[in-house]
Amino acid sequence: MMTPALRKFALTVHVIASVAWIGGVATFLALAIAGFGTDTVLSRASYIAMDHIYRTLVVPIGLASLITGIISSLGTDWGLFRHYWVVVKLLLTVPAVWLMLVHIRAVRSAAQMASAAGFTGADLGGLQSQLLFYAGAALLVLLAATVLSTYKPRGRTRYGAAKRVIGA
Amino acid sequence: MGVASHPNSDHRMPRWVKLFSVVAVVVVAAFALLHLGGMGMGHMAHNHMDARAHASELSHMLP
Repeated sequence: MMTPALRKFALTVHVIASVAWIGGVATFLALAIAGFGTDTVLSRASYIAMDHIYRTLVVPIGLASLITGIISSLGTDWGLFRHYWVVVKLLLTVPAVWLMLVHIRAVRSAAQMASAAGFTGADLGGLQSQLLFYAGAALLVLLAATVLSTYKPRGRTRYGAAKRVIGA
Repeated sequence: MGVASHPNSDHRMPRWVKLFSVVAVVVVAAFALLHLGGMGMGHMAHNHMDARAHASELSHMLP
Protein backbone atom coordinates (compact mmCIF):
# COMPACT_ATOMS: atom_id res chain seq x y z
CA MET A 1 0.00 0.00 0.00
CA MET A 2 1.09 3.53 -0.70
CA THR A 3 1.61 6.15 1.96
CA PRO A 4 -1.14 8.83 2.04
CA ALA A 5 1.19 11.41 0.46
CA LEU A 6 2.21 9.08 -2.34
CA ARG A 7 -1.41 8.04 -2.87
CA LYS A 8 -2.44 11.67 -3.25
CA PHE A 9 0.42 12.32 -5.66
CA ALA A 10 -0.49 9.30 -7.80
CA LEU A 11 -4.14 10.37 -7.85
CA THR A 12 -3.20 13.92 -8.83
CA VAL A 13 -1.06 12.68 -11.72
CA HIS A 14 -3.87 10.35 -12.81
CA VAL A 15 -6.47 13.15 -12.72
CA ILE A 16 -4.19 15.52 -14.68
CA ALA A 17 -3.49 12.84 -17.31
CA SER A 18 -7.18 11.92 -17.60
CA VAL A 19 -8.35 15.53 -17.93
CA ALA A 20 -5.67 16.17 -20.56
CA TRP A 21 -6.74 13.01 -22.41
CA ILE A 22 -10.37 14.15 -22.53
CA GLY A 23 -9.22 17.59 -23.69
CA GLY A 24 -7.05 16.05 -26.41
CA VAL A 25 -9.85 13.78 -27.65
CA ALA A 26 -12.36 16.67 -27.60
CA THR A 27 -9.92 18.76 -29.66
CA PHE A 28 -9.44 15.85 -32.05
CA LEU A 29 -13.23 15.56 -32.42
CA ALA A 30 -13.55 19.31 -33.10
CA LEU A 31 -10.90 19.02 -35.81
CA ALA A 32 -12.57 15.91 -37.28
CA ILE A 33 -15.81 17.91 -37.55
CA ALA A 34 -13.94 20.83 -39.14
CA GLY A 35 -12.36 18.40 -41.61
CA PHE A 36 -15.83 17.50 -42.87
CA GLY A 37 -16.54 21.06 -44.03
CA THR A 38 -16.39 22.35 -47.59
CA ASP A 39 -13.56 24.76 -46.78
CA THR A 40 -10.57 22.90 -48.24
CA VAL A 41 -7.96 25.00 -46.44
CA LEU A 42 -9.62 24.37 -43.07
CA SER A 43 -10.08 20.68 -43.89
CA ARG A 44 -6.43 20.28 -44.85
CA ALA A 45 -5.21 22.14 -41.76
CA SER A 46 -7.52 20.05 -39.55
CA TYR A 47 -6.17 16.67 -40.67
CA ILE A 48 -2.56 17.81 -40.33
CA ALA A 49 -3.29 19.20 -36.85
CA MET A 50 -5.16 16.01 -35.90
CA ASP A 51 -2.10 13.93 -36.67
CA HIS A 52 0.15 16.22 -34.63
CA ILE A 53 -2.20 16.32 -31.62
CA TYR A 54 -2.75 12.57 -31.82
CA ARG A 55 0.93 11.68 -31.74
CA THR A 56 2.10 14.33 -29.29
CA LEU A 57 -0.84 14.53 -26.89
CA VAL A 58 -3.65 11.99 -27.23
CA VAL A 59 -1.54 8.80 -27.43
CA PRO A 60 1.10 9.56 -24.73
CA ILE A 61 -1.42 11.10 -22.34
CA GLY A 62 -3.86 8.24 -22.90
CA LEU A 63 -1.17 5.71 -22.03
CA ALA A 64 -0.17 7.80 -19.00
CA SER A 65 -3.78 7.93 -17.83
CA LEU A 66 -4.14 4.14 -18.04
CA ILE A 67 -0.82 3.45 -16.30
CA THR A 68 -1.34 5.98 -13.50
CA GLY A 69 -4.88 4.69 -13.02
CA ILE A 70 -3.63 1.14 -12.56
CA ILE A 71 -0.86 2.27 -10.19
CA SER A 72 -3.32 4.39 -8.23
CA SER A 73 -5.84 1.59 -7.80
CA LEU A 74 -3.25 -1.06 -6.93
CA GLY A 75 -1.70 1.22 -4.31
CA THR A 76 -4.97 1.85 -2.50
CA ASP A 77 -7.79 -0.13 -0.91
CA TRP A 78 -9.83 0.23 -4.08
CA GLY A 79 -7.70 -2.40 -5.81
CA LEU A 80 -8.04 -3.30 -9.47
CA PHE A 81 -10.67 -6.05 -9.28
CA ARG A 82 -12.38 -5.44 -5.93
CA HIS A 83 -15.05 -2.95 -6.98
CA TYR A 84 -17.27 -3.12 -10.01
CA TRP A 85 -16.78 0.54 -10.87
CA VAL A 86 -12.99 0.08 -11.10
CA VAL A 87 -13.37 -3.08 -13.22
CA VAL A 88 -15.88 -1.40 -15.56
CA LYS A 89 -13.61 1.63 -15.89
CA LEU A 90 -10.73 -0.66 -16.78
CA LEU A 91 -12.92 -2.47 -19.33
CA LEU A 92 -13.71 0.89 -20.90
CA THR A 93 -10.18 2.25 -20.87
CA VAL A 94 -8.14 -0.74 -22.08
CA PRO A 95 -10.06 -1.18 -25.38
CA ALA A 96 -10.05 2.61 -25.84
CA VAL A 97 -6.24 2.66 -25.52
CA TRP A 98 -5.94 -0.33 -27.86
CA LEU A 99 -8.14 1.33 -30.52
CA MET A 100 -6.16 4.53 -30.07
CA LEU A 101 -2.87 2.74 -30.80
CA VAL A 102 -4.37 0.84 -33.75
CA HIS A 103 -5.46 4.09 -35.40
CA ILE A 104 -2.11 5.91 -35.32
CA ARG A 105 -1.43 4.88 -38.92
CA ALA A 106 -4.90 5.90 -40.14
CA VAL A 107 -4.54 9.39 -38.66
CA ARG A 108 -1.07 9.68 -40.17
CA SER A 109 -2.40 8.61 -43.58
CA ALA A 110 -5.18 11.21 -43.43
CA ALA A 111 -2.61 13.94 -42.67
CA GLN A 112 -0.37 12.80 -45.51
CA MET A 113 -3.26 12.83 -47.96
CA ALA A 114 -4.36 16.24 -46.72
CA SER A 115 -0.86 17.56 -47.51
CA ALA A 116 -1.19 16.65 -51.17
CA ALA A 117 -1.74 19.34 -53.77
CA GLY A 118 -5.36 19.55 -54.88
CA PHE A 119 -6.64 17.80 -51.76
CA THR A 120 -10.36 17.77 -51.07
CA GLY A 121 -12.06 16.11 -48.10
CA ALA A 122 -13.66 13.60 -50.48
CA ASP A 123 -10.19 12.12 -51.16
CA LEU A 124 -10.29 10.52 -47.73
CA GLY A 125 -13.55 8.68 -48.44
CA GLY A 126 -14.74 6.55 -45.53
CA LEU A 127 -11.69 7.43 -43.44
CA GLN A 128 -13.15 10.90 -42.89
CA SER A 129 -16.33 9.60 -41.24
CA GLN A 130 -14.46 6.89 -39.38
CA LEU A 131 -12.14 9.36 -37.68
CA LEU A 132 -15.18 11.38 -36.67
CA PHE A 133 -17.04 8.30 -35.38
CA TYR A 134 -14.08 6.98 -33.38
CA ALA A 135 -13.37 10.40 -31.86
CA GLY A 136 -17.00 10.75 -30.79
CA ALA A 137 -17.07 7.22 -29.38
CA ALA A 138 -13.78 7.78 -27.54
CA LEU A 139 -15.11 10.96 -25.96
CA LEU A 140 -18.26 9.16 -24.78
CA VAL A 141 -16.16 6.36 -23.27
CA LEU A 142 -13.94 8.85 -21.44
CA LEU A 143 -16.96 10.76 -20.13
CA ALA A 144 -18.49 7.50 -18.90
CA ALA A 145 -15.21 6.67 -17.13
CA THR A 146 -15.22 10.12 -15.53
CA VAL A 147 -18.78 9.63 -14.27
CA LEU A 148 -17.78 6.27 -12.76
CA SER A 149 -14.76 7.83 -11.02
CA THR A 150 -16.85 10.63 -9.60
CA TYR A 151 -19.88 8.68 -8.39
CA LYS A 152 -18.02 5.47 -7.53
CA PRO A 153 -21.22 3.38 -7.59
CA ARG A 154 -21.36 0.72 -4.91
CA GLY A 155 -20.81 -2.95 -5.52
CA ARG A 156 -17.97 -5.28 -4.67
CA THR A 157 -16.92 -8.09 -6.95
CA ARG A 158 -16.81 -11.62 -5.58
CA TYR A 159 -13.05 -11.25 -5.31
CA GLY A 160 -13.46 -7.92 -3.48
CA ALA A 161 -15.99 -9.40 -1.07
CA ALA A 162 -13.66 -12.34 -0.32
CA LYS A 163 -10.76 -9.95 0.26
CA ARG A 164 -12.84 -7.96 2.72
CA VAL A 165 -13.74 -11.08 4.70
CA ILE A 166 -10.07 -12.08 4.89
CA GLY A 167 -9.05 -8.58 5.90
CA ALA A 168 -11.75 -8.28 8.61
CA MET B 1 -28.98 4.40 -12.97
CA GLY B 2 -29.78 1.96 -10.13
CA VAL B 3 -26.44 2.51 -8.48
CA ALA B 4 -27.54 1.86 -4.93
CA SER B 5 -27.18 -1.70 -3.77
CA HIS B 6 -28.64 -3.34 -0.70
CA PRO B 7 -26.11 -3.37 2.15
CA ASN B 8 -26.25 -7.14 2.63
CA SER B 9 -26.22 -7.91 -1.10
CA ASP B 10 -22.91 -6.14 -1.60
CA HIS B 11 -21.28 -9.14 -3.30
CA ARG B 12 -24.07 -9.47 -5.89
CA MET B 13 -23.68 -7.83 -9.25
CA PRO B 14 -25.38 -4.42 -8.99
CA ARG B 15 -28.10 -3.43 -11.42
CA TRP B 16 -25.98 -0.70 -12.99
CA VAL B 17 -23.31 -3.28 -13.96
CA LYS B 18 -25.97 -5.48 -15.58
CA LEU B 19 -27.33 -2.48 -17.46
CA PHE B 20 -23.82 -1.53 -18.54
CA SER B 21 -23.15 -5.09 -19.73
CA VAL B 22 -26.32 -5.08 -21.87
CA VAL B 23 -25.41 -1.69 -23.40
CA ALA B 24 -21.84 -2.91 -24.04
CA VAL B 25 -23.05 -6.10 -25.76
CA VAL B 26 -25.45 -4.10 -27.97
CA VAL B 27 -22.71 -1.59 -28.90
CA VAL B 28 -20.16 -4.32 -29.69
CA ALA B 29 -22.75 -6.22 -31.76
CA ALA B 30 -23.67 -3.07 -33.71
CA PHE B 31 -19.99 -2.34 -34.26
CA ALA B 32 -19.36 -5.90 -35.49
CA LEU B 33 -22.40 -5.79 -37.79
CA LEU B 34 -21.25 -2.49 -39.29
CA HIS B 35 -17.82 -3.91 -39.94
CA LEU B 36 -19.09 -7.21 -41.31
CA GLY B 37 -21.53 -5.28 -43.49
CA GLY B 38 -18.61 -3.56 -45.18
CA MET B 39 -19.29 -0.13 -43.74
CA GLY B 40 -16.38 -0.23 -41.36
CA MET B 41 -13.15 -2.15 -41.64
CA GLY B 42 -13.61 -3.05 -45.29
CA HIS B 43 -14.00 0.57 -46.13
CA MET B 44 -11.19 1.50 -43.83
CA ALA B 45 -8.82 -1.14 -45.15
CA HIS B 46 -9.50 0.03 -48.68
CA ASN B 47 -8.89 3.62 -47.74
CA HIS B 48 -5.80 2.77 -45.78
CA MET B 49 -4.39 1.03 -48.81
CA ASP B 50 -5.18 4.06 -50.93
CA ALA B 51 -3.80 6.33 -48.29
CA ARG B 52 -0.60 4.32 -47.96
CA ALA B 53 -0.05 4.34 -51.70
CA HIS B 54 -0.71 8.04 -51.74
CA ALA B 55 1.39 8.58 -48.62
CA SER B 56 4.48 6.94 -50.09
CA GLU B 57 4.41 9.57 -52.84
CA LEU B 58 3.82 12.37 -50.38
CA SER B 59 5.96 11.41 -47.43
CA HIS B 60 8.53 14.07 -48.29
CA MET B 61 5.91 16.77 -47.74
CA LEU B 62 5.61 16.18 -43.99
CA PRO B 63 8.37 16.70 -41.45
